[in-house]
Amino acid sequence: MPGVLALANRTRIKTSHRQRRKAASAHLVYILNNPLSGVDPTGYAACSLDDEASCLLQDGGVNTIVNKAGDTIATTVVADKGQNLTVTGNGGSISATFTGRTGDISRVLAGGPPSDIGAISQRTNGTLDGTAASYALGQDKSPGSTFDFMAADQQAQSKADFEAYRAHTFANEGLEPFAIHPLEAVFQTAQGTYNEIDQTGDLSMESAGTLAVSAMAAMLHVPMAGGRSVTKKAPHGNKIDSRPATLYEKYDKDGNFLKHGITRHENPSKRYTAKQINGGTVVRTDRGPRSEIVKKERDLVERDPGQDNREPWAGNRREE
Amino acid sequence: MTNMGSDFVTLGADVGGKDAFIAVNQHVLGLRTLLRQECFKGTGDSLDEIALVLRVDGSVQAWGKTGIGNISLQKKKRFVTGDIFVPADVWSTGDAVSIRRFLMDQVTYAIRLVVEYVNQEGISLDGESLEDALENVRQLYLDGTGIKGVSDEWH
Repeated sequence: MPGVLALANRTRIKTSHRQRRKAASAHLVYILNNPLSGVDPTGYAACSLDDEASCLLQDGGVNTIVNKAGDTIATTVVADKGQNLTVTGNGGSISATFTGRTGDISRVLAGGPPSDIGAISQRTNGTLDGTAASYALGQDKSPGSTFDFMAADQQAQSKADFEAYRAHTFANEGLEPFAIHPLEAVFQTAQGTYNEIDQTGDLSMESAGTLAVSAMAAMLHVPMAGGRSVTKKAPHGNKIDSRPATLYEKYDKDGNFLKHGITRHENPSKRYTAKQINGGTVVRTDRGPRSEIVKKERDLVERDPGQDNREPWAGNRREE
Repeated sequence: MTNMGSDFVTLGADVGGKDAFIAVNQHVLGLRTLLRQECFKGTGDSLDEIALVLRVDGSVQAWGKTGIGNISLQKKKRFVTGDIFVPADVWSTGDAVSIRRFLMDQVTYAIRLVVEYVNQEGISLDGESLEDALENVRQLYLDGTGIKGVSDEWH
C-alpha cells in the first residue's frame, strides 16, 4: 500500500498537517492510521455508517467503523472461537486468542498503551475461551472493562468504577453527569450478545449489527430509547431543590452565638477549614434536602437570629 | 514572653451534632480560654498561629476517627492547622474528667506534632516554651482552677 501520507509529502500538497492526516485517515483506518508500520496483518475491513450490519461479519477480524468524514468512531471485532488475532498500532502489537472480551485489544485500537497477552490471560484466570464479538469505543475515555461481559462480578465492579470515575470527573468540572442511557444500552446489548453466543455457540448478524450500532450511538451521544445525552450545567448554589444541605450554628471564640446558617456539602465528611471556623465553633444541627433545610433555617432566623444573621426577615417573629 | 495581641494557639471546633455540642462545649471553652492565656508566640517564631480544630462526632455528622490528622502548613499565611478527631465514645458517657483528659492529651500531642513538622520544614518554632505553657494549661485545666469566665462546676 503506497501510503497516502507519503504521497502527500512527496507532492508537497499545501494543506495543514492536520488536514493531511485527516485525509489520510479516511483511507488508512484499516491499518490503524499507521501506514509507516507497514503491517496489515489480517486485512481489516472498514465499515461505514451507511453499510449494512453484515459488513461487520464479511471479513471477520477487526472492523473499523468510520463516519462520512472518514473518522474512526468505533471498532468491532468479529472472530471465531479460539481464533488468533494480531493487532498492531500505537507503537506496539498484541496477539491473542480472541475471547470476546473487550478492553485490552480495544484499548490499543483506541489509542491507549499497548497491552500484553498476559494481561488478557490474567483477566480470564489463564483460560482464554469464549467466542467472539467485541467492540471498542474509539476515543471514549471510559475504562474498556466497563463493557466486559464475560464475568458478572467484574462487570458490576467495572460499572461501579466507571460511575464513580464519571461522577468524580463531572463533579470536578462543576457539571452534573448526563444520563448514562446510551452507554447503558451498549452494555445491555453486549450482555445479550454474549448470552446468545453462550447458548448457540454462534453470533447472528443482527446481534453484531445491533451491538455495533448501539456502540456508535453511545460514541456519538445520540439519544437512544428516550435517554438523554446532554451535558447539563450544575444548578446555582442557592437554588432550592433536593440536593443535600446542612443546617449549622456558628459560635465565636468565647461561645457567643453568631448565626444560623445553611451550607451544601455534597460530601458530608468535608471539613470546615480552620479559617472558616476561626477559632470558634460550628455545630451541625440538621441535615436533609435543601428545600426542607431552607425552611428550617428561615424559621430559626425569624425566631432566634444571631448577630450575624442579617437577613431582612431576621427577628420578625422574635416575640413568638 | 509577651502576648502580641492575637492568639497563638487557637482551638476551633467542628461539632457533628447538638448532642455532642452540649456535652463538650463547656470543656472546649475552658481549654480555649487557657490556651489563649498561657500560650504565646515566641520571639523567634516564624509562625503567627497554630490553628487546631476539634472534629467532634455527633448525631448529624461523624468522621469515625480518633487522634490527630491533616496537619497542614500554610507558609505564606504563616499558620499551621491540624485536626483533632473526637469520637462519640469520649463524650457519650458524660464523664467530665475523661473528656477533659482526652482533650488535653490530644491538644498536647497535636502541638508536639506541629512543632516537629514545622521544624522539619525549616521554620523555627520554640517547642520548649510551648511545652512549659502546656504544662501550666494542663494543671489549671484538670484542676478546674484559674479559668477566667468559665465555671469550674464540671467536677
